[in-house]
Amino acid sequence: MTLGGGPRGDAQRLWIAAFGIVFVVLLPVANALGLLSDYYLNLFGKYLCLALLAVGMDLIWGYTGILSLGQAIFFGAGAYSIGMNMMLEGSGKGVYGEPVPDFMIWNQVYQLPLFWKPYKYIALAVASSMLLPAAIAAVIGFLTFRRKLRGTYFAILTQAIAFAVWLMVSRNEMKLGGTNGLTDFKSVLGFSLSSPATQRALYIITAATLLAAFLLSRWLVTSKTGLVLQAIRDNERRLEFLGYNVAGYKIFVFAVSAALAGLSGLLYAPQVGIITPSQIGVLPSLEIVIWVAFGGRGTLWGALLGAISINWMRSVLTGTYPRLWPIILGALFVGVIMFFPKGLVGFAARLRSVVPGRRRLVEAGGVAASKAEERPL
Amino acid sequence: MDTLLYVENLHVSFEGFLALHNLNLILEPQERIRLLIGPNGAGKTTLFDALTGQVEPVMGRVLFKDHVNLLGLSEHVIAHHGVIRKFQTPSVFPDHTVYENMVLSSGSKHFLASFAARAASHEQEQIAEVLEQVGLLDHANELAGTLSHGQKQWLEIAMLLVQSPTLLLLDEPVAGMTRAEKDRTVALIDGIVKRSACSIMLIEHDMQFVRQIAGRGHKVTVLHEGTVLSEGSIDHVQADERVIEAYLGRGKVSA
Amino acid sequence: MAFGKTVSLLAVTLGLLAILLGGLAGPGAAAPGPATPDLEGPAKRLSVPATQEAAIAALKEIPDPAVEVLLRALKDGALYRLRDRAAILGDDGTLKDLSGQPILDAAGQPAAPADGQEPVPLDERLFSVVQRALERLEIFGADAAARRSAAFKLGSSQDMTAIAVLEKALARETDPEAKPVMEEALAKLRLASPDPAARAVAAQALGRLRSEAALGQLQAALQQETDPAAKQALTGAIRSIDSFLVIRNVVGYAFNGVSLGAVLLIMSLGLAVTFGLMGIINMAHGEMLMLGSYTAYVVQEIFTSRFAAQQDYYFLVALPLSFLVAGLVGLALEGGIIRFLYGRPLETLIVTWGVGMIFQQSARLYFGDQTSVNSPTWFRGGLELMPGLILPWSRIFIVMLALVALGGLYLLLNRSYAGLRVRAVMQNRDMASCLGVSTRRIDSLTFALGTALAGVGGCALALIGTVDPEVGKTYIVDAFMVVVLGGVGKLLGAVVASFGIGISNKLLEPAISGTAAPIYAKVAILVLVIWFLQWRPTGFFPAKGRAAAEAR
Repeated sequence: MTLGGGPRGDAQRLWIAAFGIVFVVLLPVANALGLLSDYYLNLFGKYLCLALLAVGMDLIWGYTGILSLGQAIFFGAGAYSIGMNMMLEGSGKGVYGEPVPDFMIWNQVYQLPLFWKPYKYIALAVASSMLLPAAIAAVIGFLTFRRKLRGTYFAILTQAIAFAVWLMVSRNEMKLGGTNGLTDFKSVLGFSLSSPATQRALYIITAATLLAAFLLSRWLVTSKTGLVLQAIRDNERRLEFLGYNVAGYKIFVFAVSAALAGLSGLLYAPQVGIITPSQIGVLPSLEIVIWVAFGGRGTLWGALLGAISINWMRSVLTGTYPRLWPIILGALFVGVIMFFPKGLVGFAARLRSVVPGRRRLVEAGGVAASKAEERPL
Repeated sequence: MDTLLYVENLHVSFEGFLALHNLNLILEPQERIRLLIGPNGAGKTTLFDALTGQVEPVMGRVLFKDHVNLLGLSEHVIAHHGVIRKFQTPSVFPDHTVYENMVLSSGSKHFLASFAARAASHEQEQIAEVLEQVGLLDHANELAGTLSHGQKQWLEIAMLLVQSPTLLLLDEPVAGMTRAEKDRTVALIDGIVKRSACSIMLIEHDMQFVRQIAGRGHKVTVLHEGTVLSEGSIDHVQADERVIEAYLGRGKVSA
Repeated sequence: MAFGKTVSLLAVTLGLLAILLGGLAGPGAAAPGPATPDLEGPAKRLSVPATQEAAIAALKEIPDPAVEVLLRALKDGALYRLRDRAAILGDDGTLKDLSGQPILDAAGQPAAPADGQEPVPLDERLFSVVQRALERLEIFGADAAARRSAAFKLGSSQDMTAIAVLEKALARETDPEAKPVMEEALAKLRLASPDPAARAVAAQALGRLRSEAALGQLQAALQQETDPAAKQALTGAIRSIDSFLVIRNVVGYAFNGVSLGAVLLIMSLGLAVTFGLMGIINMAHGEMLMLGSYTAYVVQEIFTSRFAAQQDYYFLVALPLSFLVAGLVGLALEGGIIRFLYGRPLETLIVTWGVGMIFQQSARLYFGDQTSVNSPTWFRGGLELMPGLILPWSRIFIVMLALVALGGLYLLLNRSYAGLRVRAVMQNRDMASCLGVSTRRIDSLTFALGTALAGVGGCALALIGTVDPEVGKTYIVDAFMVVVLGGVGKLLGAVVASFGIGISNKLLEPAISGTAAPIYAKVAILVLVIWFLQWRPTGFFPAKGRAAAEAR
């Protein structure tokens, strides 16, 4: 009767190692050798960023049962943070000799707004990309979780916040590029973004970060804290009676998921080269939910699989069926969920015909058992 | 310590309906078990609700261990003070194993403490011991949802015991159990009294169970229509005319 | 030289005499009467540059439609002189006299200007004078609308000589709408009168008439006014006009708010049924709306191509048809997909999201990205509630429709047998089934009702916006917010929430200055909603019902 170990744990470790080797080592090496084009490596980099975003979502939603429809805001905070830094690095001089981004000059803003100035420093941009979302999440959590705002209402609340933020950021007066967003990044930390070596490095960092985040999350969910989080999802009241400060845990996991989302944005912007308000807001937030649910929530692997597969399919489909892809993707959602309600991970479990009836405290991968069934969102 | 629990003039109202009124109750420090009986709607569960911060009384005082005012505290703070409650319907975590349920119940509930990946070894020992006490040690890796009703009740008791409570509030612990399970529960409660220092306040309807426990010399309090009707040994209470009337309705039973 | 002068003087005198005579000719001069003053004289003087100005001045006092013809011809360069008579070039190239009769040449044919013959030149300086004269003459025209606009222009002209004309016109004015315009014009002109008493009277008149147009003039006059009585009259007038404007603006914003609320309500009614009552999270609800809009579009296309004469009636067909179409689609959706997912709102969310994607893209592929629907002509224009405040008929219709739909739904749910069964199933499914209610049927029909309502909403929305595939996604967030804010499961809540949000939104907008006001107002509303939900998470009217119970 111990925690950890056991056959399931070993299989998990194997999969993680395999994942690490393939994504962190093999792919960039293939790219360096010319076997994998820069384009595809970059594409994978993007998918891995989104997978990171999904992992955060799984933590707050899959494990703790809190549906947040505003994760895209945190993603945006990260992306815009680094975006501002890169813009400042690559832009021409303004009135006072400081760099001023072009889009501001076009809008007749000749002096750098105050809130942009600190982003000149990469350290601050990086810190802000994770700390700012975490802080915002903590504040939101503090205001809502302590009042025991439940299920659907929290979802609608975060949705409203996402909508409001999207509206604001799209305005030119916010000096964040309006609906065009920030783009035309030239370099980050002095390394030119158009150089394949830089992109490869960025990719490796992304893959490594994802691996680290995955391991960290796995450690978290297999610890007693993870148990508490899942208990929050399953029977919050009981937990309160046991003496747990449930609100504190919720705020914590919400902040962590926000930080992961911010980190994801941080890595996304230099690789994709653009960040616009259309990537923050309600619809992108909903898509993140879809990724995790599609992959199978509450399993961490599901988040990875869901994010990577859906975005990969989307890229492939938009290329081959530019007019039909939403229809195909939509049909896919319908089909998979109708037949595999536990998502891809459930599908995989069915294939293996291994459905562990018992769960050990270790459980992070594997089937998330019957949790999902009668529970509301 | 003069009293373990001091309830004075408690009034609880639900939108005009007075569920509890003039409720006075004292638990002595050395009292191990207090039985709480009464007809349906007498206010027994409501009393527990008031003691654990579920409802806010409109009037009255509740003091725990002489100095802790329980009124106005939130549930988990009350739990920290040692007043632990068991609900009428078993509320274990059905999708977690028995062992995991115990882990959740034991140890420090403090936020930072739960980051430890493994329960400290003394906690593991304690869990094992309590599980053995309630007879669930063999089922440690089963999902709590698959246990029988009686087993779920015991699990819940185990979850409460592992928190080393000072005052345990049991709300109908044997509801839905078979006769055999009820007997075993009597033994379990005996064991608790022997092996730990906590006091128990117990609501029950099953008179045979009540007699079995009260027969060991524990006091019985009868609640009726929101207030204490009678108090004393089981014999005293059963002979009390007012109690008979309350249970059987107006009019004496002939012969 | 002296001879010329004498002749001019004589001409002017004669001209003045003519005016006098014309003026004494009395009322009824708005239309050509038998005693038409002879215009040949003045016409002749028009052609002489030296006397042109005076001639014009004289002519404009003559209330005869022929004067208008003459002056217009002069302005257009169509006035000729033929055999010492005024001749006007018609569109057919022939010349006519002042009464419209064709002038015949020696051969008896309609005459045309001789080669090289120039029309009577109009001195450039006098162009605006002629223009104003023409405008002034409209004040005696037959068309009331023309008279109103002529009066208005005269009032804004600051031409003191117009006072006389206006007085004359007012005296004979019968149209109730034209009269106040003339009074206003007169008052505006009199405001510049040298007599302070006259100024005071004029100011009072403008105040009484609530003349918005005169506001600027009044304020400027106040700056320079010295006479205390006049000052008082001016301030009083300004104040009463200001308060009128404030009221009018508030009414305007309130109406906009009600209109927006009605739109929100229409969108949300269907959702209140499927999500509020049934607990189904249908992310394709917006696409049901879209279906309704497209139905309207298709029906209109059919009508324009086949029944062009009865074009407007397309709307009468489109409205019920969109109800049916969306309802049938809802029926199919429920029966084919959703019913397998009851009790699993998460899966329903994803699946309906997928369905929504399919519908949206299909619409885009088939119809393209931007189409629009023309409102039937009955809906053009609006109700002029207060001067200067027009409430468009199309929006009034939407408000009516929303209320009718609400009323219908309420009656259906609360007063009909069918509604009773629906409520029974939603509150206690097992019990209802035991009592013989076919829960399957109720589920299908209720869901279909929800989508059908969305369809009707879409059809109505087509009147005020474009019809495009994005319309669904645009409105879904708002719709969910209304339902949640209102309290899941309660119709009244949805009503209060929609109108509350609508009116607050529109009243907030003017309070926030700047072009981005609508956006900031929306954000402010969202913040208010967020704050409200914190304080009262179950909405305005928390209620029973599946979704509510689960959410708690």
